[in-house]
Amino acid sequence: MIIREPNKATVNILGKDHSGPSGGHLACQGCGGALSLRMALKAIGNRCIFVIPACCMAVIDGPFPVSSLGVPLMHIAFGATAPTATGIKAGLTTQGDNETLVVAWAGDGATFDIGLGAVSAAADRNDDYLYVCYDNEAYMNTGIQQSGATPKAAWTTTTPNKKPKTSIKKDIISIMAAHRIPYIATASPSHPDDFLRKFQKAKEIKGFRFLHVFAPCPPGQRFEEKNTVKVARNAVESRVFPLLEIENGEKLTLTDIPDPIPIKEYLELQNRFAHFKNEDIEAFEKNIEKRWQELSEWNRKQT
Amino acid sequence: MAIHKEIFSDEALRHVREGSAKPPGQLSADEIPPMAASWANTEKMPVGGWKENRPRYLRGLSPCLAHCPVGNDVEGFVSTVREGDVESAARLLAAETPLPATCGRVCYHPCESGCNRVQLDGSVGIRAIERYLGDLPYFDSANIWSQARPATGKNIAIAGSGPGGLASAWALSLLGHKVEIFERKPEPGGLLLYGIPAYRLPKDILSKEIGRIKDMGVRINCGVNVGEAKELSKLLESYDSVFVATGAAKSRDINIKGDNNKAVYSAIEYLSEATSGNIPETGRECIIIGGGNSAVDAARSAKRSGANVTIVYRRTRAEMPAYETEIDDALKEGIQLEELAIPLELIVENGSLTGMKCLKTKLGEPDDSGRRSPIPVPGSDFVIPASSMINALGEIIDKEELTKNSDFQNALSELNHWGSSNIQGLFAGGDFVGGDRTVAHAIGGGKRAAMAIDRFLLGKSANPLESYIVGGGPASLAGYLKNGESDVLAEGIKTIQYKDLNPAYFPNVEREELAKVLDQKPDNSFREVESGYTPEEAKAEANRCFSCGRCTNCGLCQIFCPEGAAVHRDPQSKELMIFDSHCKGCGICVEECPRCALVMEPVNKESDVVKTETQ
Ligand SMILES: Cc1cc2nc3c(=O)[nH]c(=O)nc-3n(C[C@H](O)[C@H](O)[C@H](O)COP(=O)(O)OP(=O)(O)OC[C@H]3O[C@@H](n4cnc5c(N)ncnc54)[C@H](O)[C@@H]3O)c2cc1C
Ligand SMILES: Cc1ncc(C[n+]2csc(CCOP(=O)(O)OP(=O)(O)O)c2C)c(N)n1
Ligand SMILES: [Mg+2]
Repeated sequence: MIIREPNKATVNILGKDHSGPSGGHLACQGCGGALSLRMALKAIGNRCIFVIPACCMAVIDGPFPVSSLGVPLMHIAFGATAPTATGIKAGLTTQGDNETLVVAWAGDGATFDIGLGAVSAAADRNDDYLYVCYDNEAYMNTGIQQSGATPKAAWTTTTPNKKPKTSIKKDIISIMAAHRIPYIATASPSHPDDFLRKFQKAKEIKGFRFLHVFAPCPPGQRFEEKNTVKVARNAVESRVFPLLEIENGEKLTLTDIPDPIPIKEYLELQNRFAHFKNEDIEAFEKNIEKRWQELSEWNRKQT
Repeated sequence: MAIHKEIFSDEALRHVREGSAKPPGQLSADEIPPMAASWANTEKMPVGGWKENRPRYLRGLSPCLAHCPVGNDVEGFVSTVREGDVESAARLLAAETPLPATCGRVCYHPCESGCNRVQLDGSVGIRAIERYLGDLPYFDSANIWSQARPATGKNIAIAGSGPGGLASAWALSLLGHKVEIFERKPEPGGLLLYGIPAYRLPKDILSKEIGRIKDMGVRINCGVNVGEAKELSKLLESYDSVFVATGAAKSRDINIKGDNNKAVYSAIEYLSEATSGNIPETGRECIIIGGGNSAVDAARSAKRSGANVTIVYRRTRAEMPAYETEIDDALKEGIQLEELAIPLELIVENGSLTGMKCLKTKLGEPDDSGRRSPIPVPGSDFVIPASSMINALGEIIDKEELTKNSDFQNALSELNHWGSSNIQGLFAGGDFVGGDRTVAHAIGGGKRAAMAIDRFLLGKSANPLESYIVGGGPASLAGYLKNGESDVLAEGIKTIQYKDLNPAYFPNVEREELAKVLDQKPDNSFREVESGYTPEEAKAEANRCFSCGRCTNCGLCQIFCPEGAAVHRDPQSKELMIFDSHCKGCGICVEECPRCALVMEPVNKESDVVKTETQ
């Protein structure tokens, strides 16, 4: 499927002048994380409090005494994102504020690996806030170390080509679904209509909501800055990053069923895959295909 | 903290003044809060200085504009239909052409050949959209045009009332001049009336188009033969300028035995009689010689009068200069095509035509035209039954008929691009001057000459005429009227190619084809073959337009800028700009723009470290 131009309502919100985080922040050129955060904040509006652990976004927001977000933001230690958000929500409730949305915004390292126990505990308690994992598939801020989100065999500084990563990308969606939380969704900035709808929907739901956002990183994934949206789009269109939502951990809907483009068109944009030979591409493709089949099956069953 | 003081000297300090906070350096020990909290935003961080390349909104040219011989703002009217504002679309169209309902039916649409959509799923149906607009009531009266200038008091004579003469009359009236046309036929229209059959261009449509031009104050004197009744030199004495657009409608002779028979016609003669209502007698078997559009038009007309029709052509269908779709339609209507045959002689018995002797040919090497040339095969002669023959070998220009004066003849042979001759005040255009012989080219030539005449008469336009040429192609009258203030006339404007676009945003959409009623059986009615778009079809088709090179405010650059630097110039404006001191030059906006309305340019670090925000 080909993306059409966004509809007018989406442009009015996500394209609005001088809204969302202020410019002048410290993201690298073409940062998919900064782009996702900007789109997310425009989608959910300003009535919110952010919690951000150690990650690129903590730096991007700006050096003390400035902050780009324009809403209250608490910087917190790496593994402590989820419980901090729980605490802030509890504080707001105590003050009688049931409107302010608490948003935990953490990287893949902080979600798939280091904070996972804490995320699981909050999900288990069904704490009432929005958890967003922006996924650039490695520990980018400290210099591109592999994380549980790194695809198998992709280059990182800790998985050089001679010593590739042997495990496939961790299936965070199934992990979260196993918690039977009210809402899980994946989103990509390349698909603005879908992105906006999911953030707006997540905002209105009560309980623990988990959004997994694909956030390409030009320096870390080794591609040209101008291609950020293209990489994200090709990830979706090649089914590498399926767009879906899951309600109550059970009802799965694929929100975009692409007529798939060759996976090569996704891989070849990024130098972290430059060492891939045909058999590597095939192996990669096989995993993606298997995952897609599982999801399609799930989508069809609609338990 | 020095750097922060520098950056936040206004804003941060204002925050400090208004709130309780002080810059960190000035806090005493007990004033230091238990938790560090930021007090200003990042707006003043000079991150724009990081970039080496800078995006800029820059209008590119849609190829359809450069390809339109008339100079229509094709992308402009098509996209305005897409936006649902048909009245504005009609006005945009009217700004460059006096004959939209005509071109909307018979134009060979070079715009569609140039359309970038050809490389995806077929060009946009531009001609049919033009027809749709041209048939709307906005074109019912001359009110669609408002006089651009007050009357100048200058008088211009035009010889010939074909599309060339009509277009220049229209343009000259808009420019405030008084125009008089001299036409030798009893009715105006040139080949639009006497050549193109009514089943492609109905008479009432044409007369509405011409009526509008008359209503602007243009006088058309029919039955006046310039050259005989009125000498060119006399015209030049009594008018401030003379424009010659007498066409090229003299038939090329066939020169074979029997060609003086009364059942032998030239295509122009035949079609001209046919449009006047008295269709010449063809008998049962009518043969057409030639492979061009006149041949096909003559064949389809003869078919409509009840004859069996055969087109005899010396090469094969593939080499026929007539348009593909016209040939298709002709074949569907039951017309025979005799390929690879040249006429040798007509067989006449008792004064009546009974057949035509032909020789077979085979194809040889390509000739100057690039088409394989026919080589006669000796001894292959054969006879086709024929009760009449129409010679459609083509038309030639006849300057001698117009004037016997060799100075005038020479002057009319050496015209510049604008139709100016070396005789003061004498201009020419259309088929008469050679080049492509189409309605659109004739209109374009008439417009160009009108601009040249205007300049000759008033001598004041500051810009050279060349500055009104769009993308190396046609001249823009609207641009001329605005002294060149038009984005499509910007110096160095680049024509957008398919590779410049972002195909991710353009799904395949099938083209809306016009419905056709092809007459299988003769009914003599000459009723129109093609029907136009409904409003819904027109809009759907306009929706397929990429709007190459023009920002349509789709919003993608604004959504996708990670810095929020793509913003409107001001809240009322539709025009976007890049806020330079936040733009880091990633280039996502340029890469993602579906239609190439932005370009990336190197930053000149020395001269503009941080350019002003109003660039
Ligand atoms: C059969 C046929 C079909 C065609 N179909 C198409 C088509 O579908 N699409 C397309 O784009 N083009 C078509 N063409 C070409 C197109 O018609 C011409 O290119 C166009 O009409 C030229 O316009 P013009 O004003 O230069 O000349 P014309 O249309 O030839 O007009 C010249 C006028 O000058 C008049 N005139 C001539 N001599 C004198 C004189 N001495 N004094 C006064 N008046 C005079 C003539 O009577 C005529 O009215 C077709 C041509 C033919 C022959
Ligand atoms: C407990 C702890 N370990 C390590 C670090 C160093 N550190 C800071 S950011 C970061 C990488 C974060 O990666 P991720 O969560 O994927 O976010 P990204 O920077 O990629 O956006 C690391 C390892 C830390 N701050 N705290
Ligand atoms: Mg990461």
